[in-house]
Amino acid sequence: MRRTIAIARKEALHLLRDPRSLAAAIAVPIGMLLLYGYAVNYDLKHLTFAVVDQDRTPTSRRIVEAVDAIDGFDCVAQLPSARLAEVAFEREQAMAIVVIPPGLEDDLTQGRSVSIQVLIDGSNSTIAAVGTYYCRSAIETAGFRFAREQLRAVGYRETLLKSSIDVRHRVLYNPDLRTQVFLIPGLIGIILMLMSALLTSGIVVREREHGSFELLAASPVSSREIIIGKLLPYLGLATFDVVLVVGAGWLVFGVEPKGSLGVLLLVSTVYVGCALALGLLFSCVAKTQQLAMMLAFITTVLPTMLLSGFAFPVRNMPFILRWISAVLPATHYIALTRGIVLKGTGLASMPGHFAALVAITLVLVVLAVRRFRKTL
Amino acid sequence: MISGQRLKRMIVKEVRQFTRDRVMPRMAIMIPLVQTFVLSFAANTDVVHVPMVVCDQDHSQTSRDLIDKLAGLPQFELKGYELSEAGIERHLQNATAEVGIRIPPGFARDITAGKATVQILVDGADSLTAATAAAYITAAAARYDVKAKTTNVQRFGLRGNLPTVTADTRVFYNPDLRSMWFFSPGVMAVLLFVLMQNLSALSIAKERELGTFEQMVMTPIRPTELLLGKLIPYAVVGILDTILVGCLIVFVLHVPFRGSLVALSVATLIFLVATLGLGLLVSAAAANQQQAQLLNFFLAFPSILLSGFIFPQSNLPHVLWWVSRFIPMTYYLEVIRGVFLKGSGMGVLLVPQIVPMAALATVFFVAGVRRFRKRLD
Repeated sequence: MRRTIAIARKEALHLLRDPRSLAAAIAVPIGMLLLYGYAVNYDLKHLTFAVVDQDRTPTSRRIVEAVDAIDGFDCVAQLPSARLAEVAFEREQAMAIVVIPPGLEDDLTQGRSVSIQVLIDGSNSTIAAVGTYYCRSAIETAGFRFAREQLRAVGYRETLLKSSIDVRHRVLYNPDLRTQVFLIPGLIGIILMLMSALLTSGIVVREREHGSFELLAASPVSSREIIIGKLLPYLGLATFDVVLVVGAGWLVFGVEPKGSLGVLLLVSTVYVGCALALGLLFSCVAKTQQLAMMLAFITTVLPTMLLSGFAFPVRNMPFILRWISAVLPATHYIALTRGIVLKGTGLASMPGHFAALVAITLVLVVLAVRRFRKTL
Repeated sequence: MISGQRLKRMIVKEVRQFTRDRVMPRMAIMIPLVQTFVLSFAANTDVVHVPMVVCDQDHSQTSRDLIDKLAGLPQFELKGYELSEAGIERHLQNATAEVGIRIPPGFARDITAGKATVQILVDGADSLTAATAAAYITAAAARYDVKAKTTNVQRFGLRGNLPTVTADTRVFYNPDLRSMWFFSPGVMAVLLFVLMQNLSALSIAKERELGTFEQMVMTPIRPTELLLGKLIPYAVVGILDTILVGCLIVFVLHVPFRGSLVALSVATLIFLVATLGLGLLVSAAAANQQQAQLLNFFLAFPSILLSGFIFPQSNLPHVLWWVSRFIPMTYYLEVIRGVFLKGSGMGVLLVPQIVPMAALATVFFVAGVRRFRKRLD
């Protein structure tokens, strides 16, 4: 115990004497959260659409207005013909084109149903999927409102025309459906994983490169004491990063933790411990600092971004990837933080994720100790 | 004057060094393969099989009808039934379901009287899925609604039916809106960037760290020859990797390639020059490999997140949008997506994408070469 503390003190002194790394460990997470908090966003904004109005009646204009009224849709042009659609798409002038057929108003007043064509640029599948649905529901609602007025004018009774199914939405946890609310807990997970793994990836291999490793090996300290002693000061620094990043998410992006801050801190500490142990493991395995950093970078960045459910739902992945996703610490951490921050859940309702996170951490620490002993 | 012989020697030396390394050649092949596959299958924002729970408090033929309609949609997967709204909320809280539907008692009776309600509860945490799922349910309910109204109108013996306006959507380029078609071609850009940047910056930083740079300066080789000799082998690796990934995307993943191969090749070469230029700048700024690695890393992140690779650029705040205009990958991605999905050719791409990218490439490359030669002198 005393020896562990001595190692921890030595490592903390190293850290404090290297103000550049220390400043980076504090500034980089904040900078990344701010930059990417603004950059990562799926909201529908500034979607441009054009109109081919072959009817030119008040009714056709009402339909165009209904589409224009959708949040994030902007009407940019009137096109003479739908034949120019592909040109408009290729030049990125519009991502949707609403084609209103001639005789729309006549047909509707005479009780005939009408079909309006909506052409969509599907090259960005994510935007196109959501855009299509908003567009369709706006047009169909506008049409229905018109038909209702017509029927009322010819004497239909009001009760018959009242909407017979009133769909009431209740959006829980994120009533305005802001994507930032969804993405920020994940972003916190990615930033912490990356920073922590990079922090420790150099520490053992550096001793080896500088030749101080032999000194350490000759001392009576056991490998378990060395590993834990080396982890402790970084755990302190990384936990400080947790507070910074969660605080920035709250103050800047308004993602206020609904659940208990104590639980959030506990889960985050386990998680950064896990990431630090991973970096340390690479540091024990790799022969050079460069290789250790490379390993830390490749194994953390892409898998965490793609497979953890940060932006892409895990349920859409094929079986093998879902399995890989299950052994990534970030998957469990992101699920836990979303629960704690957005829904205010405690650990009791997500025992599986917490147990998995603890288990992965323990495995990584044990592996690091083992690999360390072998090479000593 | 560039001497062909000296240049050849330099290239031979670089190739030998590259192939003698155990890790590097393998990474140059494995990383593209793994990245392409993982990315193509993982990056999927389709809304399918969203777990749904139902609370049917009416127990009528009509309510069961509506539930069957919704549960039959490919977008949802019926996970079970609950007795109360609180039960649905519990599912949402524990993330065992993302959508809940509650049909209140008296639904069947109210629907003929024109005052029925249905409640939808969605887990807004995943905003994209929530928005789409809610839109699907509303649309399905509205269709049911219109049908009910029409029967209503007819039942009261009045003439005609309720005229409806339907939106007939036709999606261009990617009719099934498959995420893979959108994300996979982009991998080419990310890959070329990460690989070229790392290989070129690190190989120069390594020579500097080991002190072999001075040795080379002592030889009769000229700085330009040294530089070309270093960059040409990596450019070849980059081009081969691009071709490998391109073939994978088209022939294995069956993403359509509809546009001009010429435009793609030209854009790829320009992008390569821009990336190598950036690599040179990084290696000139870094004292050792570790610093080069860190700098690369800080360049890679904005390139991936701001260029529109995953997140739409139309959403970027103004300042970040301007930053993205100085990232070569922004333009290269536009070219790739235009060429693969939209079938674009030079005519459409030249002025808005290729010319600005070429300007950036020139600036980066010239600046990189200058810095490089300065440090040599």
